[in-house]
Amino acid sequence: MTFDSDSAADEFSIFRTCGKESALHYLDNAAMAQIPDRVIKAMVEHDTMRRSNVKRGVHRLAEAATEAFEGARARVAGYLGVKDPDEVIFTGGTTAGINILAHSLGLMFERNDEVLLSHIEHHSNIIPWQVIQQRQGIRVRYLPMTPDGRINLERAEDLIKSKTKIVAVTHGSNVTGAVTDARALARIAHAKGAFLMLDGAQTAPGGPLDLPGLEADFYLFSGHKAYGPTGTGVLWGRKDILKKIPPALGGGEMIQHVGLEKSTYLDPPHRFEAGTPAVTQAIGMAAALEWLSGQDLAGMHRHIKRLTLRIMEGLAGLKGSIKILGPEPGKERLPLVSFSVEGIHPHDICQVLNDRHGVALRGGFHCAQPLHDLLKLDGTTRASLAMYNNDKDVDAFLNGMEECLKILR
Amino acid sequence: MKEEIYQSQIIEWSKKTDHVAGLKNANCKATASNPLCGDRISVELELAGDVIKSMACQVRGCLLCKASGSILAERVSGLGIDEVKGICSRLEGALKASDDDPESFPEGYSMFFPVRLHKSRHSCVLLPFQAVITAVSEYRDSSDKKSKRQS
Repeated sequence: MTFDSDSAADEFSIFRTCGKESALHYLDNAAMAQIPDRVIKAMVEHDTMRRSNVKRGVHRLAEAATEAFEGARARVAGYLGVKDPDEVIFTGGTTAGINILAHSLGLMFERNDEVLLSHIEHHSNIIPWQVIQQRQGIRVRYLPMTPDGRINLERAEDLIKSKTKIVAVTHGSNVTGAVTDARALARIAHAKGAFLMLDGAQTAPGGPLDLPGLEADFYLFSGHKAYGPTGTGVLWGRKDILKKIPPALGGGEMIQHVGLEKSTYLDPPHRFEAGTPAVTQAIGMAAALEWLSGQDLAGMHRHIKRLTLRIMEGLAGLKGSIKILGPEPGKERLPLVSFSVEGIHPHDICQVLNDRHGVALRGGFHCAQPLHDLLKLDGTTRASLAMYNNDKDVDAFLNGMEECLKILR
Repeated sequence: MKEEIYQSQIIEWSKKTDHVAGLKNANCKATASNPLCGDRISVELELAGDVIKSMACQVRGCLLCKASGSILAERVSGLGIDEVKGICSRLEGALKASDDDPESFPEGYSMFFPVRLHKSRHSCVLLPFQAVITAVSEYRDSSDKKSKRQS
């Protein structure tokens, strides 16, 4: 099997239809990837053949829906490289997952306990912990960033203290593209008695994972960045830890017994899935991950890496003061490139590239305002790649940038 | 009229720096920002009674916000805050309108006609107005409090 980005693109209606009406060079994949037809089909098939609420019915449809839903959980576990599907909690996305974890784990925190984040975090991994900080008087501290946009792990020994309950960081930055050495950080955190949580929103779309190998305690990702539907995500946690954590959200589906004064809860994962879950979407997400797993992953990575390098080298070759964030070319990075152009606002760049070249980019803070404040930047422009991108997309981007610099300067 | 946003008129206005320097006699100021894109504008006003005598503004943001800020700074002298609110309201209405009529834009603002097709950019054009309205409103609140204390 060899990887062919055009064949991959053919699996997406959006490229077969929108692309014909006007140019579409979609380079906003770090925000949301497109969804292949087969994933939509899997969801339509479920809703037309097996639609029913899960877990609570004994009728034929309810049993079929439950089987499909729990089957999706098992397929996600397989994608993550973990044996026990009960460690997979379905959520509404990474943000929802971090909130569930922060609010649940937070119930066990005591005043002056510490949570260690980093300066390169997405807002979704800052705000939930700040809410707990305000509510319970814990302290939120931050690992600094290295000049090439990584989390500075050399400071971890100092900053992880006996009061640190959890180190919660990105597995791969949505701005700098830097990938965190999870195992090294896990070992430091565990030696001090702290858990390690990884925000995998940007790393999970890269293909099947080996979570035991990362040695983390919690890992989260979103379906919509991994070719799946919106409103889906996963909070994975080690079962021995999940079993000790009380639920922050209550409702149906998560209880063992309900009394007027006190109730008891089911074991994980159901303990953390109050109410009717997004059944159809979870099935869609599992279909997306299974489809992704079936690709020529080595070929896909080579292809995306080459395009990423072309973008970096092409930007470096343009006239103008362009600063590219993150690891330098050739060093490990996610397939995304964020950059700033002196004197030109990211939204103006995005607008010109969209209007004149059909290139979809993202501009602004990318939900990482502290990172931009530290770099004294009013925002950056980001091009992010997925398996269906090709050289034409990169050509359109670089030609657009060249013209943009002429127009806006 | 062309639907191209970045016409020479807007680019020229965005580059004007006449109004950037702070005012000697400023008596009210405010900063407004758009968390979505990071546009941030700081305005200083010299207010005489209900009339704005002069305005300075500094924009850290996109070209549309800079151009809109420059135009407002140049045209605002002698206007009352209710007149500024009126222009803002007309401009917002024209941006949101589905009709293709550049004449519906307030005088001096028809260059923003193509922006109506890009809803996410409307706030870039309107942000300078918000800053001015906030500055005057906060100034009035603070003056009212002072008067109450004195009485």
